[in-house]
Amino acid sequence: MAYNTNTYFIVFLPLAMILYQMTPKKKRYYTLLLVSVAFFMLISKYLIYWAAITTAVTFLGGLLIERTLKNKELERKQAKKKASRYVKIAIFIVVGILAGLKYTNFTIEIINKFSSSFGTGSNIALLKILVPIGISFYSMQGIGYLLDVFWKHIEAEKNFCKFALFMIFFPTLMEGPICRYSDVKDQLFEGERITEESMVKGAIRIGIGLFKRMLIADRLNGAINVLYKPSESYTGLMVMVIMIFTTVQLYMEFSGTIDIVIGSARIFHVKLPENFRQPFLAESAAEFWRRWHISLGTWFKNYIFYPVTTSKMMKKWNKFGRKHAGKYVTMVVTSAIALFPVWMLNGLWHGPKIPYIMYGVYYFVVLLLEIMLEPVGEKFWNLLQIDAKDKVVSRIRMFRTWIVIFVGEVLFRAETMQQFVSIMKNLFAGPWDGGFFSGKILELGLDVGDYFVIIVATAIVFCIDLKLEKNPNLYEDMVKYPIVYRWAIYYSVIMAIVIFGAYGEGYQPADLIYAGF
Amino acid sequence: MRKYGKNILFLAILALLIYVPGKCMTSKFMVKNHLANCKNGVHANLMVEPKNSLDVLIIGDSESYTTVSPMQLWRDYGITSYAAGQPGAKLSDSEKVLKTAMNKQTPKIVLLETNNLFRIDRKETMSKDYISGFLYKHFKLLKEHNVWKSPLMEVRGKSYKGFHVSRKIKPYTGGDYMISANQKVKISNRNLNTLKNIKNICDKNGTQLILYSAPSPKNYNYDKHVRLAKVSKKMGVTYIDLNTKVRELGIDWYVDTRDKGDHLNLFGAGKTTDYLGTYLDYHFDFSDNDIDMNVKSWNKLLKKYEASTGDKERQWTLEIKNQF
Repeated sequence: MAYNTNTYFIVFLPLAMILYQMTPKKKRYYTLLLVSVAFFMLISKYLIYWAAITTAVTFLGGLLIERTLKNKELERKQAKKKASRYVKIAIFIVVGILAGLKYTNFTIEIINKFSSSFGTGSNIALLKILVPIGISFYSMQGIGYLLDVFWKHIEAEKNFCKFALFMIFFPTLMEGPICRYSDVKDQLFEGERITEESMVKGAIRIGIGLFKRMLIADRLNGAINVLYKPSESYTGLMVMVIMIFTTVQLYMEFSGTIDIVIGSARIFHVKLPENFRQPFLAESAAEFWRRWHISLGTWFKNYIFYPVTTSKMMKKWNKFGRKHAGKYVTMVVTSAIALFPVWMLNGLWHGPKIPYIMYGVYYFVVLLLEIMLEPVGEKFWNLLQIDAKDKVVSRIRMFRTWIVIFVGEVLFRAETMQQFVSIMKNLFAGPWDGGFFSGKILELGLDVGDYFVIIVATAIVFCIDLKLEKNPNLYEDMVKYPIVYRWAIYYSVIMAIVIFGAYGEGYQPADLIYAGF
Repeated sequence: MRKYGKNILFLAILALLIYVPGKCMTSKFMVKNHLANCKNGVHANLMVEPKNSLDVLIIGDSESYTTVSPMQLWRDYGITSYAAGQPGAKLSDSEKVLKTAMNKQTPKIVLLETNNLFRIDRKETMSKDYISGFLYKHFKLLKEHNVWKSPLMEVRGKSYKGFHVSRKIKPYTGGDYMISANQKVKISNRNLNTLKNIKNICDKNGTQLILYSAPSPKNYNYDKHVRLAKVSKKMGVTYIDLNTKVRELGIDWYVDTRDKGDHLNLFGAGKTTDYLGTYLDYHFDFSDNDIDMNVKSWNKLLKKYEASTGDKERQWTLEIKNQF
């Protein structure tokens, strides 16, 4: 039962709302937990025990860490050392479960490949491992929680049920966003009554999410499946279409689902952090990652990037580097050392696939190049006597970022590196058109009507994004519009989904891509 | 109270917006107003066919309605038929079409094109299936929401009982494709069960089910032929693989395909229709059909069909008639 199914909207969510409303205020978090457990079990059945183990380990770890840090019998240094040991053990178990379930077969495959290429002939059989839903998301939340307790940013939660709810709150379970405990705890446990306002605000976000998913992502799904068929031969034009389709579909699918997730949580008065902030208005890859999958980027920034850059070793290097190698080299080396683990882990987090790892490497290289070339860029604009903040420069940068994003998303979507290379190679090496616009474009499972809907709907989403850039509270403010205007918007969105949505016979909705991570 | 009234009004208007257009969307209305050209339109088109007027029903995906021309079957063999295939149809879609047809028809023969036996047909969960069924039944707009595409689909040209005239030629040059790669071809259990259901529906209505594979280098090979032959034998169903009769049919892959061997064009379809027509005519008796009432309308449509096709395909196809 994914978030975009009618079972979720017609049965699960209303039932959850009724149960929640019927429960006394102080006990409402129990209902949310119960509903979340049911949601988990409807998808992953008995595999919930993995989530239970991770939750228990994190919960106990948090308590132990806090108790040790507060232990007055121990010296500060000693307490910190002991607490740090607990953090390491707890994180080791959480990461161990995650890695064991997700990466064992991947590791075996690599070992087998190596052993066959060296001719040793050993062939380890792959294991049948079932991975519970959302493991990457709740594991990251757990690790973040342990570190926050250790760094004394938060107090450890004393109530297991409340903590379990934070870990597996049903709207965030499949695709995030990855929440920080301090950001959501008050709202999650407050148990505020569902009101007309919370329902309307939630429904608006859900409507926007369905619009993005059903009009664009689901409609593009068939074409994407055709385009990524291994046997497909690509022309230059086709490669460009693949790059655009892949990026548009991924954005509409992921941000659309996140809209549904945020809307669902909003009904229960839980304001989840935004995961997207108009990513295609970014002027650099670094800015793109501050606008795309924000919660993942924030997690890596808080728990990997900052600890690395502020570590003793890095401080020493900074001092040494500035003295002996100059400011520029020191800055580049520091960035490289801090960015490397972030992007390797980012790639690995997405899953046990070589293209995902290379996706991480790709952005590591791009971001490092951006840092390295920044002074050159400034000099270049100065030479042309153009203000670097000029609108034209800004558009050029935006376009350049789009190219980086397009290539990155094809790498992200490719099944194998060979497929990615074959696609990209044909952008330059293969025939350019190959009759694409004179027929082949209509052989992708999309007809003229489909293209029309995709183009118009994407333009609408782009306009909404431009509005959101000016007013980030656009959706929340909608309830203040005059009733005629407001209702016209509601009906338009609903009827657009009903009439132009890609559902029913002949359509296969796009999978929740990030639910697999 | 005012607040509740406002909410009720909002929902009432929404219900009307979704419910009322659905109520107007009767099969007659849709066919009359050219709104039944999409995938789902085949249901409406079948529902407006006069009761018990069809001898043969052809179902499947796009391979089915590009291989049999009902107007040609009528002209040359006096067989009334309908090409009720749907583009990209899953086998369960074809089962639904069959169920719709059986509401008004008791055809002697159902010809099921086999390509969608290899198509992935995900099983919906019980709840999803039930909810969708309920919604589609009571809010027809949801089921027929793609009607807006119909005017665009008319670009394909007029439908002659489900068959569209396509003269487009894009040759297939890949040579012999009915060779074995020694691969085990899998047909999913879900599709096998759906096939059993289709057979049961036919049996209940006294209809004979025949499986056939359209000539298509893109979709067939010898391994698939072997698998399909096994399945049909096990089920006690006749199987005709036109891919093994390409020479006999006189299919010329330079001119008879519209898209490099995926589908046949008008010229290719003329040859396969003639083969199947001759086969049906030889093996079954269609003389007791009660179609006198419709002869006029069939002949009227035939005139239009002939005007749009010319008589080229007639010359080509008459040659293989005497083989049976």
